[in-house]
Amino acid sequence: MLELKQNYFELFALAPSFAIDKANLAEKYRALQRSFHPDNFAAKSQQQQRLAVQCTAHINQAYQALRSDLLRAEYLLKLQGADPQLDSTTVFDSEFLMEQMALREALEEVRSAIDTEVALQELQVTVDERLKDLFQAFSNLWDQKDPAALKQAVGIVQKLHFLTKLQQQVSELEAELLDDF
Amino acid sequence: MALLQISEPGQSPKPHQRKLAVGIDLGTTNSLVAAVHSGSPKTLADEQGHHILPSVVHYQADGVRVGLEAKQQAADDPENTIISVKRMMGRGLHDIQQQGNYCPYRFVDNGGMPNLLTCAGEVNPVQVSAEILKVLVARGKASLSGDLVGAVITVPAYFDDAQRQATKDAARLAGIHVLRLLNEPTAAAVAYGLDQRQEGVIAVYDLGGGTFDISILHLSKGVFEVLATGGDSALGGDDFDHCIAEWIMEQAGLNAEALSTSEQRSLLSTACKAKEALTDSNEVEIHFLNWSGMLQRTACDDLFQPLIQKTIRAVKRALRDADLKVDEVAEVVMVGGSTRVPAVRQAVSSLLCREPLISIDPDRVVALGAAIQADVLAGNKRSDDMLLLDVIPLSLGLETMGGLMEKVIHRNTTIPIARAQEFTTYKDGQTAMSIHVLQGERELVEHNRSLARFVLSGIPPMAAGTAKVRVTFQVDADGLLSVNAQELSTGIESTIEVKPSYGLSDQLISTMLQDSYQHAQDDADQRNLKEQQVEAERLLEAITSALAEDGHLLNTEERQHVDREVAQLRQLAQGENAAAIKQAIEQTAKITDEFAARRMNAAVSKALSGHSIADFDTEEQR
Repeated sequence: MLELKQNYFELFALAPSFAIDKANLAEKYRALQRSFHPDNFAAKSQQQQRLAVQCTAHINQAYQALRSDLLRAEYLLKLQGADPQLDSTTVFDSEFLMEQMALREALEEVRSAIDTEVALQELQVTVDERLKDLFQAFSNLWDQKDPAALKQAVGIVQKLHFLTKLQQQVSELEAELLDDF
Repeated sequence: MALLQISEPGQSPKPHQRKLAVGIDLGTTNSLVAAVHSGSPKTLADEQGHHILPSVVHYQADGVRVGLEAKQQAADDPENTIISVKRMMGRGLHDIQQQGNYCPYRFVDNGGMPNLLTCAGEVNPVQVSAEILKVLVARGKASLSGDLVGAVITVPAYFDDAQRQATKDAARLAGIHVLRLLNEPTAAAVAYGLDQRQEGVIAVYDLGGGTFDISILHLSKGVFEVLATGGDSALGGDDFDHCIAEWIMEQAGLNAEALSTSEQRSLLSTACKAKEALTDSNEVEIHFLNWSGMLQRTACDDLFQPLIQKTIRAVKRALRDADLKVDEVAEVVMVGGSTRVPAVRQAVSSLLCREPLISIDPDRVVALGAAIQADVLAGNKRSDDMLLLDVIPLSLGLETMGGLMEKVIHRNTTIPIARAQEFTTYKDGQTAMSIHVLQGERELVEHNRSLARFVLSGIPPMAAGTAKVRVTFQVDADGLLSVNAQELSTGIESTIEVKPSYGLSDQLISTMLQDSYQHAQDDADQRNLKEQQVEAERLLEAITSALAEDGHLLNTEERQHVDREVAQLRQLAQGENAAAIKQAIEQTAKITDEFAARRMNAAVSKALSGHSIADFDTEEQR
């Protein structure tokens, strides 16, 4: 299977950093799609069509990896040879664990809250703010470019996984409650 | 493999003769064919001036009738008159019966998509759809006076892999080259978007005869990016008819079992007429058998509410998936005849706080959009003008231990996409692996749709956990899945047996194709040869221009190798051995693989630099 050789940042002609201009990324993504999308080859040979599919699949995958903050953070670490998913030995600090427990409790209590909508929104704001802080912390560590900071960054990504999952559960609950209307 | 021809941005491809291509809306109730003519898309009429072709096929001992003529037979000969066949595409008998619709057909269950017993013998839903497609294509050829290079066929965005595959198979049976399977809501957005040059977020609410789709799209400089899609592939106008039919039976004190099949069908058509009458008036008088009564629009709206609420929930879900709020939607497009129901329009406009667009006939808008896309794909327009980026509607995954589904590609992922997953053996000396491919959002296997079962064989015997099998899922621009597998530790490519759960095997399709040619086997051979020659021609043309442009990317030895293959293919293509040409095409394609990869990499920076830095700067300042 054909794969473009560049890493995802090179593919979009971007510097490998956490802070990226998403509008710029989207614009470049569309420019690449305009050139390589299978629609350009619908009347061409089957082989050209197949190649176009493989090529755009790669571009789409790269775009997804860079567009999402969490996936981009993970990809940056991967480029440095650190895979947060493989390293499962990390022990979280007790402060973080306590906070997680409190947040999960809050999630469970939403259903029985007097005003579920308000409770849900409060929780959403808390989780969103925590995520924002962690992403900022990751960005700062990444910019330091030294091994100790990188190790810390791996820990941050693991925390981000926790919180992102929680964020998902909050929106699933929102969906469930919303659909009852 | 091949060499992409990348034209400079802003430069149109070689001038050539205009190629004829059509857009086909293969609907549950009605179908249409459209083409771009003198710059604007138009639906094409038959000799009697009818644009709409009812999606009805009537089988007789001596032949097949399609459309209006067939529809007129529906009440008199229900068993041989197939309506709403789209609901059966890629579905098992159990699914069809579960849809709760009245089905007078004599089904023949064979485990997969069921056959229908008619007086012309057994037919399957793919063949029935092919009959409809044949009529539409013939109409296209007649009104455009020429051969078609291909067609864009629309499918509900929410169609799963089996339903899409069945649609493509029907086109193959009808002898149509499918340029693209296009999602219906996307087609509608194309028809509106280009007319009105909108930028921003568009919601397309598509309630047809048998399916409901909601798509959320983002439009920017001619790029249609689908952000999220949702819906129900078994909810549509038919269900509204059933609501009224049930109401009539309740009022008349009848029950369904007491009615003959023709009475049942006449009941449904009475219900449908009442529904249509209530679009313009506040009440309608209904007569059925010995019963007659009045139905008020408000009462009718109440009957429809549960169905409408189901669609409203899907709209909310799609917005959440796209991470958008209601007020971020700039336009709402209404598609499908069922959006004429006033209660539907009201519910949608009150949810999205704006009046929906209805300026293009909701019955034709999909076909018109498909015609525009067909024109682009046939190569008549620069693709710079328009690009559609669609998504996969339902997650794809595999069965894992404990009967759970593990998602490999998530729903709303932009297609084409490829994802690989690694597996290992769990027993010593295991040489085969059974893999179950699923589509759906639920956790348990049994709640999702089974697409296919694969057996990977030929794994070298090893200790448990040492063999590494990489399974790659690839979804193409039509939303169709293909799977391949490789054993990594030895590099041995494992063979895959594909058994589509609800599709037709390739072999069965070939047999049907041959049957349909009947005595014209020679024609089929001739056609195959012609196809291979055209394919060889396309490949040679691609390689020649690639060499002219980027020949420097090959060293002398590589260049000689390519030249030898090209010469051989060129020579074979002039002969009459189709199999030999096919083989040479594959070999030539294979050895130009690496060259193509190098060109792609070189082309990436070219594609980006095609846009001036200033473009990106303005973007950044926003």
